[in-house]
Amino acid sequence: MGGDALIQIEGVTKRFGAATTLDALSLDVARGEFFALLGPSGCGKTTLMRLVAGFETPDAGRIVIDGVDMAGTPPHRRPVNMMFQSYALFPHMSVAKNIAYGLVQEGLPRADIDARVGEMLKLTQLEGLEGRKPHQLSGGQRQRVALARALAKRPKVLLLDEPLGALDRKLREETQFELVRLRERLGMTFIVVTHDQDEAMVMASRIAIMSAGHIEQIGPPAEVYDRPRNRHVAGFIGEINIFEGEIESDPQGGLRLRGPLGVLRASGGAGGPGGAFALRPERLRLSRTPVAADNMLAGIVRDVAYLGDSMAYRIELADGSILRARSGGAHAQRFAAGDALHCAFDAADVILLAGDGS
Amino acid sequence: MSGRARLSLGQRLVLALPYAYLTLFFLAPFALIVKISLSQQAIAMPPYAPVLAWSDGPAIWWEKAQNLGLDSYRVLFADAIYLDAALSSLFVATVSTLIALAIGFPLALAIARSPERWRPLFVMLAVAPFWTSFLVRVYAWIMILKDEGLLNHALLALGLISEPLEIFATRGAVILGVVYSYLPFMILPLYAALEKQDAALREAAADLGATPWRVFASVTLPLSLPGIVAGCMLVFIPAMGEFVIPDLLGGSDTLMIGRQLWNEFFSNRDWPTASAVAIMLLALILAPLTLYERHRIAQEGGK
Repeated sequence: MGGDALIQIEGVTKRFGAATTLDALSLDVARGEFFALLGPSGCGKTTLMRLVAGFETPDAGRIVIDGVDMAGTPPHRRPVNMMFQSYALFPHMSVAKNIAYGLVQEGLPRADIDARVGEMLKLTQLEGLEGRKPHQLSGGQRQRVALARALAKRPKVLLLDEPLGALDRKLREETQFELVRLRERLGMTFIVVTHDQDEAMVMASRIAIMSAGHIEQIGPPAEVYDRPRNRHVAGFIGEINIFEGEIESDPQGGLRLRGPLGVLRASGGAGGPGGAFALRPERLRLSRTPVAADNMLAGIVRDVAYLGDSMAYRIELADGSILRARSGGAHAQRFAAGDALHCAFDAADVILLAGDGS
Repeated sequence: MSGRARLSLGQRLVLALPYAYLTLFFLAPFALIVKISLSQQAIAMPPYAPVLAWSDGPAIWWEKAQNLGLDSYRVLFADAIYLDAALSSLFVATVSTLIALAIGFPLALAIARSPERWRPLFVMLAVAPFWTSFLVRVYAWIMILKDEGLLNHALLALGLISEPLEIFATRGAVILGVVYSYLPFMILPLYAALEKQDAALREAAADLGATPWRVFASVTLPLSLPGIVAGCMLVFIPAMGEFVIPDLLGGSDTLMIGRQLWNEFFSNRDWPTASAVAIMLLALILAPLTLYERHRIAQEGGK
């Protein structure tokens, strides 16, 4: 990210007792980004966020925000604000007092505080609720109060810890787009922590996929989906089929994999030891009769699920393994359980996964 | 919330039991005390003029009612000793409550912020004095505080003082005894209020720019207010009526209303006056309670 990095995390290690939660992790977040830290629970993403906010101190490494090393800077002096997963609204204060809290600490004049609170109420569509106490609000309203309170101080960086985790599905989807629009309007840098890949894909301009205290891959949503680097990323983002075997270069160009299903071909790339081929389910072409293709697998449909916009199949292959396939569109041919199918895919659609530890 | 929900038979029974208990063991004796307080002292057994009896019938009730009077209450205001005792009790109870709060709050906070696995031990240590008899513990203070007691011996031996301090048999000794005896009642509700506070609230306050002191003043303290009120009530109310501690640790000049009550009943055998004192004590305790309750309801209504 070069000179425009607003947050630089350099070799940060955090241990709790004997467990290493973050292992020499480095990461840059650019100014104005909507950055997502994505990973399963326990991968260290929340710890990383708490280190940025200042609630924890790193055992090694440093965190630089806007060119200033944050070592020794307590949470109340950091130019970041956080929206808590539990919202952490002050139960004894009204909505307006909650939103004003950070501004009062700053010692702004009363009139400025009132103006800013009014602005925030409008921004988060909470007008008319300013006199309520948190326990008199719905879950969605509370979420917006938490957001308004964290935004009120106009921090350089807004940290969002599982911001939509407590909302129901419909509200969650609406709010995802709202957050994206909000960030564009305010031009602030947002860092969101989530375990929900859809949420990260919808909102973020860049995603860091974390596991066991380190980062597996960083990139825009399309990149991590289309070109996952290893089995972990491939498995965490979307559905995928993984073919194991020995990878070698193909005399006819590209690579080939020898495995229990015979020989599969992939175009381009270089295979490393321990690597594998992977394929997204929607890249398969299913038919009852064989067609000409780079790769062809025969199988029997075991399970069918109708998903509205597409059909999901689980197909048993010759070696007993299960292949996931998706066919979309209203005019796609449909198959039933028990049908014998040919599953074709192009060498160009094959994703090459690196071996573990590379 | 609908308060008009119909109660099942079982629910009524469960509610009826405590009410029956309170009626039998609180309301009925209270009515008895009110009755005695309106009567006259008499050399009899029990030592007061008979008041109303069911067998009398309306005519005699009327006649007797003429003789009932507020004489006992007039005594309370005529003789300064009662007012002095009441004020002294108020003073001792208030000062003791404030000292207990000043000691109890930091202690409860320290326990609530200690590692979770240590908390039960610390709470147990806070209530450990309850394992020995209250009387034994107050007697122990006599041994410590009296002129030739442990404290004076120690201070003399260290050369900090040249003459024994007069602590025993003073109001200071009574306050010390009250604070010591009731401190656990202050710590427990405070700990309960502090312990259940979500740490994320303090983090949120710090995140929004509050210094540690501001976090305490604007989040921790207001949220522990119910615990503070409960702890203060639990110390103030028994301290108001306390008579064992002033009797053992206080001097002959340390007046307290609970002790006065005891004197009227057992030394003077003046039951009507003793009953009037008891009712005065009740009024002194109920007044702040009622005020607080009204304030609380007003607050909740305004939410």
